[in-house]
Amino acid sequence: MNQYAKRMSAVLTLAILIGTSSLSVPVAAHVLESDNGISAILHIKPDDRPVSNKPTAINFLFNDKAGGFNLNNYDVELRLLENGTTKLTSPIEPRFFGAAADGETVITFPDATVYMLQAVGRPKKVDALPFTLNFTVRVTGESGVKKGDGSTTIIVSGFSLIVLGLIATSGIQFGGKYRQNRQL
Amino acid sequence: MNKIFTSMQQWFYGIRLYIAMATVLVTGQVYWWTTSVYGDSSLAAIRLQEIYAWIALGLLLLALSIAPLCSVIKKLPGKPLLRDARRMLGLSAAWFASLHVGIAYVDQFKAANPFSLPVIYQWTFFIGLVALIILLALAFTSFNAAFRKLGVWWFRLHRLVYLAVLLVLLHAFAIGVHATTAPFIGTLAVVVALLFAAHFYLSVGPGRNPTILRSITLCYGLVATVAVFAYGISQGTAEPPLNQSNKGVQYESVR
Repeated sequence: MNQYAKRMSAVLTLAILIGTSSLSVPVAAHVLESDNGISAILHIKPDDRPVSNKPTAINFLFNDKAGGFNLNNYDVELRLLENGTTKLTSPIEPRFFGAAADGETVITFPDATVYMLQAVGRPKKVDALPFTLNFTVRVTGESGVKKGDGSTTIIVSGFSLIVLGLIATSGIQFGGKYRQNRQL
Repeated sequence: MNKIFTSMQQWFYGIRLYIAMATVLVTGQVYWWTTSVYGDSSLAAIRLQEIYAWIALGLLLLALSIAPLCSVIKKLPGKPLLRDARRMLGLSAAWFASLHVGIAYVDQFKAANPFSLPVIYQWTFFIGLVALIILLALAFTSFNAAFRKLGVWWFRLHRLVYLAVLLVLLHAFAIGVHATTAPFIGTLAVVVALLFAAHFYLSVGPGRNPTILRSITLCYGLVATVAVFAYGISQGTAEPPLNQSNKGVQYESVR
């Protein structure tokens, strides 16, 4: 294989992979939500990958515009909605004693489907505003926690990296740049 | 024109072009994998920025390990190739770190005002941003022209990479979901310990006369690193197992 063919192979490999990658659908994240000046970051323990029929800790880190959100000033409730129907409710309590903005509750997702988690806060004092924060969550079944297994992606990716490695080895050996013990 | 073509032709004989190509490939491949596995769920963006972050940290530690490796092992094969690769590995680390920050901020946090985020996110964002600025400063001064222009200040500037690694580790241990689990913290501890051991050997080993400044820097660096890892371990052990939760939350079905 001459040098021109090698270069063309390298460029072609690169083009195929970039082209294939660009066919992927765009992603959307629903992790930080805000309403009436109150924001919260949702974290589903342990790794944001809820599985049905297993107790799952739902963690919220709250904040307000002044940076002084206190869970004790609100009655905060977590609602689990499926197609607009409330399936469960559970109070969100401080994660540990003294935590002002770190709330947590434990729920069990009944099925492997798409749910809406709704954190609804009602202020205990009249001068504060209520808030409703909506988070869309995809729950998977115990047997399959992922949408796809990604094996095709891994095989194509691994193969293209091997091809690139072979081209690199060939090009570097042919050039002999490092045989001259060139120091940079 | 002919000179430029000849120069470009030389790229195919060096390792840097192939590292750059692999960086572009891996960037696309990770994006492709996360979307094919997690679809359009919020987890796709989380995994994407998480994997980019781990690749950045891995490349950074790899780039940092080349110099002590070449110094400690005198007859290490392929030394010129490794030294040549170091610069592009650092650039790739900066590239993946930038992607991690961009995706996390825009996609996961919806470009929110940083001061509206919870306090732990505010300070971890800040130290992550400082680390990124350091990495970008090193990336933009990694060219031969900058090396010649900056002189001794180039070496002083590029020593900030050690501070960047500490800040990155602190950032990861504070808000990284997986960073405080045993496999990750164990791997990181072993790699960082080996790096320190190599630097100690090069400073106080046989035939070495370390300067006072280098000794002080190493000692304080070791103390700071141990403190960062102690924080990471405390973060990991602070989470009680789910089945020991005694909150007594009662579910109320209102269907």
